[in-house]
Amino acid sequence: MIELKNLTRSFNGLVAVDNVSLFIPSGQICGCLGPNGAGKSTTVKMHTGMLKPTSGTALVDGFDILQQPLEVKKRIGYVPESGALYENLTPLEYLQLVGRLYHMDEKVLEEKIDEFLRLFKLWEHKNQRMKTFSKGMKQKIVISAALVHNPSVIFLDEPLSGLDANTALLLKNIFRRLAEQGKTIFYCSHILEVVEKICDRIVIIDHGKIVADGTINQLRLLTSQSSLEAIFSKVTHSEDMAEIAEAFSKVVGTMS
Amino acid sequence: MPNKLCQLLQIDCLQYRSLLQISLKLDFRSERLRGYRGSEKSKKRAFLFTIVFYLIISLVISLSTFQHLDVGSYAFLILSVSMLFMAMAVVIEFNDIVVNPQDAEILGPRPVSSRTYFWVKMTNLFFYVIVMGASLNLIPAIVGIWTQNSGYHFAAIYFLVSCIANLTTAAFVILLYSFLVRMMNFERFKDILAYVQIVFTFLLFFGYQFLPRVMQHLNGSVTYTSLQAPWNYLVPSMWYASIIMAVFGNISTHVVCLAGLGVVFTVVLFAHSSGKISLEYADMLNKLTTATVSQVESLPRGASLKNSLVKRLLNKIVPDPVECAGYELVSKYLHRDRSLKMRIYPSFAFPFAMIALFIYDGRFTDPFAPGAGFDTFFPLIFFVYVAMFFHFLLPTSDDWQAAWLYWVVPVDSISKIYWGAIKAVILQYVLPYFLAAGILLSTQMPVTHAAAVTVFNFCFFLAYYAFLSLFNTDLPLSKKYERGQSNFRFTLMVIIFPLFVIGIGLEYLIFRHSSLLVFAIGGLLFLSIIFWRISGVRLAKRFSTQEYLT
Repeated sequence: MIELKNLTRSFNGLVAVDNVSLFIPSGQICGCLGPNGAGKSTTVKMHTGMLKPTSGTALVDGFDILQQPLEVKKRIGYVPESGALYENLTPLEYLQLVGRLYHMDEKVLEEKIDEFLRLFKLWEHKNQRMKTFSKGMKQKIVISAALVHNPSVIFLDEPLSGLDANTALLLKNIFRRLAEQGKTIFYCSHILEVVEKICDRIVIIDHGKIVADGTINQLRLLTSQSSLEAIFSKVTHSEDMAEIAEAFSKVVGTMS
Repeated sequence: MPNKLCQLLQIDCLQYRSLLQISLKLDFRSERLRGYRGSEKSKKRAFLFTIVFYLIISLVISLSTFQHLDVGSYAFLILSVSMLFMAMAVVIEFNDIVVNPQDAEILGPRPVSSRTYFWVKMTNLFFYVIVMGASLNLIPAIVGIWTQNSGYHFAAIYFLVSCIANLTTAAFVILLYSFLVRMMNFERFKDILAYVQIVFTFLLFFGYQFLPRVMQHLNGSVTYTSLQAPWNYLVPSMWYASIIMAVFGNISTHVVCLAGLGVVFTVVLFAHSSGKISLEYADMLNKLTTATVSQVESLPRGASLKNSLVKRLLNKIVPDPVECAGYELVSKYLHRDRSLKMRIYPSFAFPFAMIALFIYDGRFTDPFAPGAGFDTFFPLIFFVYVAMFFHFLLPTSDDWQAAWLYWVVPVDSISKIYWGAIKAVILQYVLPYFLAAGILLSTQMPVTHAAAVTVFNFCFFLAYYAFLSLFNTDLPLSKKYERGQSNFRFTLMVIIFPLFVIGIGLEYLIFRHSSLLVFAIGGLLFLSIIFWRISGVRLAKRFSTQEYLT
């Protein structure tokens, strides 16, 4: 489970995450939506140890991110938005590296790596340096690395970025199965359709604050909107997109 | 660039000016990597250091030679040094200044012609060439006024000719590379670039050593006439020196031919660049960005046995899994990361160049023999330069963004990754090189004595490397390499060189009193351990408060 308690983070006076409190029970996939710069990634990075909260704290499986950061890290898996990898390594080497950093048993690690690579159809590329991999192939390795140590809480930041439809479908099914096993999944994304489909609950963040929180049906009732897109626009107080699009296209047509 | 010139070169003036402005602006903007390392001035500082270094070098060379040389021979010497440095600078910064594949992604879809883009990059490059060339040649231009048969007009003439020579050198290197890129795939090309850099470093070092040896032979003076020989036609710096001689009124056939060669070479080169190369530049860039090679590495026969032996040995050296992870990561990157190799491998050229030079000069003597001098200790102390290279460069990588992993993993002491990296450096690189140096030394003195010198210097290296680690703020492969850093480091190396003289002096004293040797070695090892322990604690403490800010 994940529990945020008045979590705040500012950067040089700019408040990126503003006093956010949230509870996500085990076995739930919680989707996190928000405009660019809303504070989604910042929230995730505070849980993974990459950033420190300015104030407040969070608990992961009962462990405080500030008081017991190592215990928290042992229990989380993280897929960053950048998907950055040490690309001069082969997938085998990278997953071994990650496994060792999580103090995994070598034999268990080897078996898991083999299985992950086979299931992602990367077995024949296991000794190939990832520099030559496509974006989708690299993303599969990042996801494997996030799951190899069997975390109970998983933070995903745009995990389907760059993936083909089949792989995206596979991963959506994987996330669902993991949640059914009791894992907690915090899923950040801009892709409303995916979030709507796989998440049990949706949290919308805007300017560092939670502006909506509930299941899709609850949000529909709350905002009197039927689609998630409309809900999102309403709660983030987006201006009329149609008007902006009209004005923009007029400017495009202007050459002098 | 004036509009007429734009028309002549067939480029879009407005696009050219806009892109050039941005290009120069970006050159001096340092990216902020993680808020704790706010150093927006670092690029400017690195560039400034390079200028200072070149000024110092040019001052030393010109002041030590002008009295022995006439106009022509002086110009030849200085131009040779200048053109060599320029070629090296272009080679080192090639990937960033001349062809940056990122530019292809940004500008590729835009309606910027190949010629326009080519001349933006060339102007950008020439800006650096002129500034660096000026710092290499300004002082010699002034000092040259007092060479034999010179005059006050020497300064202006020499300076102008040196600018042309440097620009031509830069253009020639680019022409050479564009030829290579056409002939081979990008991966192979980058391999060659890496090794050319290493060779250049070697040449530069030998060139630097050449000067003191030449000075020894300058009993009287060396004139342009005394240097006249068929080889002049093969050495570009002699062509441009001949232009200066021609302006000074020496209109002999030899001078005119050489000067003409210089002029023709420059004109043809620039004409070819503005014609064919500029037209093909976009294609070259595309080739560089799209060429990828599938590097499927199947394990050779017998590899599994070798791997299990290596694995067992590794378990003994780095039993801790986190240390082992750091060891293997850095080990693989030092073998595979071309950019890292290009930056670090040249450092090994220095000590081996010194050893080769000293063997050639017969300067190695048995350090335990009565009356033995300092010479024997001189070459191996250059290994501390290797320590500096590793210290500055091991934290850098093109894959630096992958370092988010360090923050996320549950490692109780992140310094273990650092120790693993240090062990990889020492065991896989430094130790074998010291062994090789020891073997070379043993050809010049008894084996046990060679071993003593090697072991002492190895321990000195360890102590120095450990000392440097006290100032370490970064984990391996965790920060972006910034342009100009290589020249900055080179400058730093020369500046701190006098400190090594002190080290040599101490080593000499210790070997004079050989009973102190064991204690000295023990002391150095002890210092190494102390420094590394302290740096480990400091790194862990520093890391615990650092944040991952990109």
